[in-house]
Amino acid sequence: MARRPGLHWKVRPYMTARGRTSSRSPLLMHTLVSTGNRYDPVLAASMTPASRSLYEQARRMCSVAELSAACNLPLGLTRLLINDLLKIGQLVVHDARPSQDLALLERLRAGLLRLT
Amino acid sequence: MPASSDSRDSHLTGQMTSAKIVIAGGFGVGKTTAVEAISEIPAIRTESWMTAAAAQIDRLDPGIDKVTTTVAMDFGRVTIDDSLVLYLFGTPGQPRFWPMWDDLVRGAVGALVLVDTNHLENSFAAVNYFENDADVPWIVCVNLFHGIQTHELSEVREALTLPPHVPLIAADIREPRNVAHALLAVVNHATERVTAVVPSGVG
Repeated sequence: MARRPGLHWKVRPYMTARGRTSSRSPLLMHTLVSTGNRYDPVLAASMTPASRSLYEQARRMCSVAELSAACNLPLGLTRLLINDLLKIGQLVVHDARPSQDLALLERLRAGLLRLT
Repeated sequence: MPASSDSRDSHLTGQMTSAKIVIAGGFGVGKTTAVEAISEIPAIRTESWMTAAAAQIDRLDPGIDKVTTTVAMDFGRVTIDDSLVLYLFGTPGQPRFWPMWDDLVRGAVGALVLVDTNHLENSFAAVNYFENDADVPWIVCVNLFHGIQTHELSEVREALTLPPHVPLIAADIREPRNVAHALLAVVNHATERVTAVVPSGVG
C-alpha cells in the first residue's frame, strides 16, 4: 500500500481535514475560544502540527479569526480543527451572546462613548 | 507543578463575550484605515480559501483543476469593558467574494458601509448587498477624505438611492474618535431596530 506523503504547508485544507469540507455548527469569526485554563503538553505533542498550533495559541483566549491569523491557517480549516478540539473537550467556546441582545448593545454603546 | 506563569485572570473563563461590527465598502474607501484608527492592536490579516465556483460544486474533484483564490481580510479589536471585546472586520472589496461576506456578516451587531463621494460607484455593490442580501442593521458613512465634505448628504442619499430608514453620516475615519462615533451610530441603529416593535407579517 502506497504511503501518503506527510503533511506539508501546501497541502490543501481538505486533506488536512481528512476529507471533510464543512462542519456541523459553524463557528463565527469573532467567537471566543480557549483551552479553558487547562493545557496538556502530552496531548499537544500527539496532535497534528496545525491542531497543535491552534491548541497552543488558544491558551490565551482569542477569536476564531485571531487563531486563523496567528496559526497561519485558512479560516475554513481553522474552524474544522477547532470543532474537533471542542468535541474532545480540549477547547471551550466562551459565552456567545446574540448580536441583537439589548444588554450587549447597551454595553457597546457605553464603551464606544468613552472612545468618542 | 507550577501553573503557567503569573496568570491571575481566572475571570477569563466563562464570562468573556465578543461582538462584531463589519466595515464594508468598495476598494480604496478606507476600510482598513478605519479599523486601524480605532483598533488597539495593529490590523490583523486572515485568509480564507475560495474556489471560483464554490456555490455550484459539492465535491472537490482532484481531476478538475479549479482555481483556488486566497481572500484576505483585515480585522482589529477594541476592548469595550473588562468582559466584552468588539471585533471590527473589513470586508474584502471584490464583489466576487460574496460568500465571504455572508460569513463575515453572520452574527454581526451591524455594518458600517463607507463611501467615497468621488467614487460612489465603488460602494454600490456593498450598498446593494446590505439592502438586498443581508439581514443586519447597517448605516452608510461618507468618508471625509482630508476632512472635507464635498457633497451634501442629501445628494449622496439620492445618488445611492438609500432607503430613508438607513442612517447616513459623514466622518473623517482617520480619527479614532470619529470612528468611535460612526460605530456608535451603528450600535444605536441596531438598538432602534431591536426596540422598534415590528408586527410580524408586515412587508
